[in-house]
Amino acid sequence: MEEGKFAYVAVVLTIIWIALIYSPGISMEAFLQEFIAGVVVAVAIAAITAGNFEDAGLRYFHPRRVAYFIAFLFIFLIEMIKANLNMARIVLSPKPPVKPGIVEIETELKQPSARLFLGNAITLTPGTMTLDYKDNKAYIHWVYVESEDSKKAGEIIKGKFEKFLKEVYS
Amino acid sequence: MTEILNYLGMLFVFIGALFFLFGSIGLIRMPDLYNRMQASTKTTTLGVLSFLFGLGLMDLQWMIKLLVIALFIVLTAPVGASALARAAYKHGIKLWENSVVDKYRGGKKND
Repeated sequence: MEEGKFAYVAVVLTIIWIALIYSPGISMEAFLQEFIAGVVVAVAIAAITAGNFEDAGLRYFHPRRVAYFIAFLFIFLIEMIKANLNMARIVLSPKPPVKPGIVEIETELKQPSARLFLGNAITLTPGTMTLDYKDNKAYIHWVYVESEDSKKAGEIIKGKFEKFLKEVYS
Repeated sequence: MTEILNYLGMLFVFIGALFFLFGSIGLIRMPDLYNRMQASTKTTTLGVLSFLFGLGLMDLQWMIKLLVIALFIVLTAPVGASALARAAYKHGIKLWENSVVDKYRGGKKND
């Protein structure tokens, strides 16, 4: 399992590095040099930090997971645009229709990075902002509270996000 | 073709700037810190995304790099907002007086 984690961290870091060093008109030679230096550093960092990462390791590259993650990103983008139009409507209306409050919802996601994605998705979608995680509960600030019940609120806030993330991290 | 892309890019940059404007208006008009953060975080994130995408359309060669920047912004901006809001709450900044519920402090109405 350790090797899987190690390879996963190294590969992800290398991909990010390639995206960073690529620029228009870079010569093949320069690119190769930077690429090799990047791989060396990525492997070194992976060797030091791999133990701190989650268990799944290379299994995250399974096509099904990747497909679900891409679907998640698309839904996220659509929700984000909706959220912004909604926010623009609230901000521009003569008397902002706000009814703020902090609600509590439950989440079944356990992995830290899954929670990060869920939290980010919640923060960037209609009128909600993640404040804190405690055990399996998340505290959400809501501009217009539609339901104080944690189950109902969870369904409205988490929407489809959690289903997709569960598939990614299953 | 490049001409069309150029104008399309300008359109996206314009939309991005428009969202920045909404965010700023929200910053002034919302009642308390938490609502203000909501307005500014959301709108500026999408604004930056739109802005970067527009720039990428204007000069396609830079698209990859701009998308990487966009990815980092999407990953970090909400985390920063959450951390700031949480810190503000722990510091004792009160919710707006008309807030309906505060489960974070045991379900009591804010007083």
